[in-house]
Amino acid sequence: MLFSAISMRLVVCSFIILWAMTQCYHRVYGQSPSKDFFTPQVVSLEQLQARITQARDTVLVINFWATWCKPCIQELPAFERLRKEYAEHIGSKHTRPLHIILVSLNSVKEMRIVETFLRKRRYGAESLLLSAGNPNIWIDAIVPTWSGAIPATWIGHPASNKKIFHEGEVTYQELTSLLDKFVLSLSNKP
Amino acid sequence: MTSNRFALRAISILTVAVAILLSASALVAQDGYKPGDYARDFSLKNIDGSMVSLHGLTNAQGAIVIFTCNHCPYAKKYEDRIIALHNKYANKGYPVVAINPNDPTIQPEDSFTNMVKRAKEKKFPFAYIMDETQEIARTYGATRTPHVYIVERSGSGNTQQWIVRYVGAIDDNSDEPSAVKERYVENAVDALLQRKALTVATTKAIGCTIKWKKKQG
Repeated sequence: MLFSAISMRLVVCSFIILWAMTQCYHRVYGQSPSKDFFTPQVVSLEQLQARITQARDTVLVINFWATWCKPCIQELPAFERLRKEYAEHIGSKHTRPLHIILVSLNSVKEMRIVETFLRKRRYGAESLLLSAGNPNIWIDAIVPTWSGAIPATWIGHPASNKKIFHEGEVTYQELTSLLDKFVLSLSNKP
Repeated sequence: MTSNRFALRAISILTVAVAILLSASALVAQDGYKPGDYARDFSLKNIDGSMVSLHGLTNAQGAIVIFTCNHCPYAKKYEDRIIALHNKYANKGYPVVAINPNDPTIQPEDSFTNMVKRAKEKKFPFAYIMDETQEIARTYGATRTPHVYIVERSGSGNTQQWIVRYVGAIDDNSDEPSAVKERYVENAVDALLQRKALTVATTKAIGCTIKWKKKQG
């Protein structure tokens, strides 16, 4: 009788602990598991621009990539690491909210390939798939200095309309130093 | 108070450094040929072992120089369209000259042997040459594959020069050749052949980054 009461309590306790853990997970990663980022959301240029504006005071890191681009695939773990490490340092190292978006430039036909790729590696960043028609028009609309080569990384702060752009691969160190410099530039109001 | 001042100074120095770095990278990005520039000639090894240069092109009024490669899926999507461009314009004086600028130690699929293999498989009718030192890609300012430079011959014999007329993409739709609306390269060559001004002289496209050699030392 006593034994079963203890085991019941144990079961209840473990449920509570599990529930608390998932709550922590939501808070840390700012997303619920039901919102599945492994399936990229197909967006137009206007929707991507609206998504950027909507971020307001959040520092956005946007990585343009594709599953067929080898250097892109090689640098994606750096973005995943940044996402996780940032989550661990909320309130201490970083003073501003940070959000990472992976924008796939695969064609819509390759949607399943992108989804499988992200799911297999469990990359948890928000993922979009840009379907914007003529690249000659949308590349300039995003960054006029961009030649169109990928990988490419855009870091911006919509509220102050500041942004920097990097064409080509980045290592984790390069990415964090770009980000640190950018965040520092935000604290220096002109 | 003094530490505050020191911090402020450090921040301002850092900001200046960042600004210099950013402007320097902007300069690098804008390097390379633009329409109207003179293009340098080259002499690079073709898949048949011969050396190919612009001045060596017989009966050419110009050339469609395309930085492309074997491995890049974007370049692959354009292979058939590049063949079609050559078949359409070589006789009219604008042959395709395809240049592979990639370092095969980084991307083995782009080795000279694999270039020969791919050219045979696809029966490339044009020269497919290797920019082993990457000097031509750097001078032209190519950043990705495929990346097109249409050059027009001016003068003849020893005084001939090559003027860049168009820089950019082949067309506006890499995925669906049947859905293409703007045939940038065809429009440009047609205009050159008709001695008309080009309506679009530069365009942008998505592509694979050129696999640059790792800096030594």
